[in-house]
Amino acid sequence: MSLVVLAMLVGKGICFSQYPAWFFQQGELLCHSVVGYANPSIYRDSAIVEAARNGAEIYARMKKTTLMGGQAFWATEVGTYWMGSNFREEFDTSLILSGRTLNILDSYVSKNIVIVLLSDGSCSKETIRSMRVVKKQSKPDWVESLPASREYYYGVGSAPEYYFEKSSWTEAERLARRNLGRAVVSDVKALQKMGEQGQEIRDEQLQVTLSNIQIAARWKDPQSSLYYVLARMRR
Amino acid sequence: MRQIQTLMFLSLAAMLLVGCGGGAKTMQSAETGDIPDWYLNVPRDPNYLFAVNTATSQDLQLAFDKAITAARAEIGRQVEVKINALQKRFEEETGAGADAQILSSFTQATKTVVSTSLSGSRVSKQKQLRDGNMWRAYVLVEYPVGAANEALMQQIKQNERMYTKFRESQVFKELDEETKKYDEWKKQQNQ
Repeated sequence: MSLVVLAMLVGKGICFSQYPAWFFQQGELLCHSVVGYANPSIYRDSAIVEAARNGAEIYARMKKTTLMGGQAFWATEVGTYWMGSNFREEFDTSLILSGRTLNILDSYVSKNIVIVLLSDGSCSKETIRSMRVVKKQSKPDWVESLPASREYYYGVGSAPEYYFEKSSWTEAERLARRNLGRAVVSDVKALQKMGEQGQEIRDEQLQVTLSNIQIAARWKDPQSSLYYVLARMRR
Repeated sequence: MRQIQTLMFLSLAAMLLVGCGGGAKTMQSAETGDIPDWYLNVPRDPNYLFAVNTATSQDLQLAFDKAITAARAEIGRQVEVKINALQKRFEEETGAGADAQILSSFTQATKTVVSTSLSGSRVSKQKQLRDGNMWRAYVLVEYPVGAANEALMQQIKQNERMYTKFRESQVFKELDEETKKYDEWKKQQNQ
């Protein structure tokens, strides 16, 4: 019987994802920090360098990004059809060089992903030390109820599980930035046509520049294998 | 002995599989009726306009995009209806309907308010469920109604002639009172 219980626990332990606390609650570091991702490699050092390079690009995107484009939907009684989208992000690639001057504070290597924590030296050593602990995290409130604050705009991005875990986190971050942009300004036009069948064309346009974006928190749902990222920006 | 060992090994393997496969079985599904409470019972608050929506897609983000855009369009309509009712009362009370210039200015102010109002709206709650092989997204979008009143007041104040006429009406007093309440509420939120 004890073997059965042990096997179940081991089974759950293998399947549940664990990350350092600074990855789950990056916002609590209270300093300028960026997390970079890389796919695992047999050369551990190379993977960490690759993750730091990725972090430098993320740093540039977080510093200043312009989101533009839009998408349209056609809502009918049968359902809502997607009419296409042309969202895109533009950022100053010269800022990547500044991102390369950041220091690697910590790294975490698992069989699915390599992550590094980068900072410009503004992080307290005590805080970093206390957040190096690897842990599991239960479902945070922000996944379903977005925080309301006079200080920050918030945006949550979620992505499904792709072959590479890096792709899932990258996609969730990209969508968190887009939803953050929507929280700042959103232009929605809708044209309703009422006849024998009701229908509506909805058009959403986005044109906003975000600066000094922070990743406040992350979470991976072990049951649905969904990846969540909470981004914020000062008002 | 060998049989017992084999049995033990198979049990262990089965347990590991159960551990890994538990997720799929406990995955919430819209088919099980696990619809969020706030979708069925939309919150009521005099300081907010609310709109809920649900949409499906094989792509999770697209399901959210569909639902959010629809809810935001609904908020826009609610603001428009509210302001149009205000405009009608204003016209009836002051006879501004006969004054083409004031009427045109008011209509322009209304359009500006409706088009800018969505920037104050936010997705306050969201949830996704598996619906067969699709994702179903539920969203609740809220909009502080005082923000629309304040925006309308600002637009009216920009036109001196319209503002003078508007100040004489009962609608102005009500709007002014609501705007003051909103300012108070904003102060409380900041504390």
